[in-house]
Amino acid sequence: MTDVLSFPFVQRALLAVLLAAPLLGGLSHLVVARRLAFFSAAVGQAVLTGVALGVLLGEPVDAPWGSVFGFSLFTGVVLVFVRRRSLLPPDTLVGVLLAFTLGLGVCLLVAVTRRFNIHQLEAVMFGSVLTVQPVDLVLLGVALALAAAVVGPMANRLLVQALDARLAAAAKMPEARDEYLFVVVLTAAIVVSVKVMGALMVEAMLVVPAAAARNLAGSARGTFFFSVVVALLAGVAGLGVSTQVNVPSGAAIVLGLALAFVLSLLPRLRR
Amino acid sequence: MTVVVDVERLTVPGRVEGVSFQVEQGALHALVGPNGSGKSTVLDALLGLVPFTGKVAVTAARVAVVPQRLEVPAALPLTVLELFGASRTSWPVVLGVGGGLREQARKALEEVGLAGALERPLSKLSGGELRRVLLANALCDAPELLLLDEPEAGLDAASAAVLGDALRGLTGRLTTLWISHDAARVEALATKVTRLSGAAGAAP
Repeated sequence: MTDVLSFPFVQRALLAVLLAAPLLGGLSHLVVARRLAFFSAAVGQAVLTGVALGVLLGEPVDAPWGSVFGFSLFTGVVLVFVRRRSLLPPDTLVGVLLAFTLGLGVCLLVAVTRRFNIHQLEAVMFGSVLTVQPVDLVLLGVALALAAAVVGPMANRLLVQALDARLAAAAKMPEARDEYLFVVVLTAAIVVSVKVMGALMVEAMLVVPAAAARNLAGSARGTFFFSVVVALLAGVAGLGVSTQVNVPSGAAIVLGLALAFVLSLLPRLRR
Repeated sequence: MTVVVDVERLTVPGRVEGVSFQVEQGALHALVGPNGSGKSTVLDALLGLVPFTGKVAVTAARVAVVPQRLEVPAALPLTVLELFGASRTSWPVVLGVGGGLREQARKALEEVGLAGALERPLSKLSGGELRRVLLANALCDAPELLLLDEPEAGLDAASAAVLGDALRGLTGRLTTLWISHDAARVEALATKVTRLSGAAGAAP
């Protein structure tokens, strides 16, 4: 592993993981508390549709940022907008929207399929951390700073709102504004992490860390701390495996997360 | 007398029909009615959580509520101290709660006989303990208006005694709107009672 680290592309990959893991792991306790797991999966898959849209509109296939950000943010905000007004359960609405975006994505992909190599699509779906460019690192860094600056000061409100609507209302918390703002930051975090985790698996890094941490901690502080640690360990281990064996980085990291989750169950099983 | 809560012909379709009442400053005002009479919906309207027609005016600047139960107790790991911190500061509780707030929370919990519960997860509290923690949290920064949603429902004897003492101690110190279906208990403590009947709504 040490000699592998002398390659610049491996250094960039490690840096990407060290930025993406605290970003997604740090948000994960809020994602789980606010029941946004399925939502995160849907936004991740919207990235795929965004890529197809970008290629169709003539953006470069390895960096269609305009379409990807645009379509993912559109999907996320529409979901929140509809959910706040609909009587249907949130998971049903996410399921409906997921079907729409996936159908649209597949149609667009087939339409533009001649314009790129199928392996480039694989990289979007499963992650290819070894192809990370400096611009990806900048975007990850900006997203991490954004999450700390925007979500940090409203994290307490997001927790109380998830706990009880009446407590939040009595304290005059701006619930609608907070929800939209959180979803926008969450969507940005998902989009910039797709290079590391893959569109299909980015949700894992937002759900499994907090799920594992929940098994180990009884406080918000403990859950946050363990989430970040689990995300970092699984991220670095997954990257290590991915450089040694030729498997997509996202999949290797997800296996690392799964292992962490199983290990987090052990202290409970002994009781 | 100053009016702190002014409700006039409040209607929430299908749940509350033309309810009117006024809560005066310093009162322990009880809103009593059988299950299904829309008491909790009135509370939601006061908090702006349901669409309604009619007039609802709350003039108190600091409002606190004690819900009957928490909607998501287990999905979210939060200690009692973290609840106090998250409810009133913007410094993220995931990074720790400061010493000043810890002392304030400990004092508030002492008044409900739970000083030792500071570090316990909310999910590990009994129903009565949780209600007492929520009361202590609500009273922590001296609200002008306290909203109680059936605080006596389903309590163990110890918690019921603590709650009764707390309510007696509150009279005059602040304005309280107490929602209940237990008319007998309410009449012993309340300074004013508004009754909600099933469908018709308000009798002042």
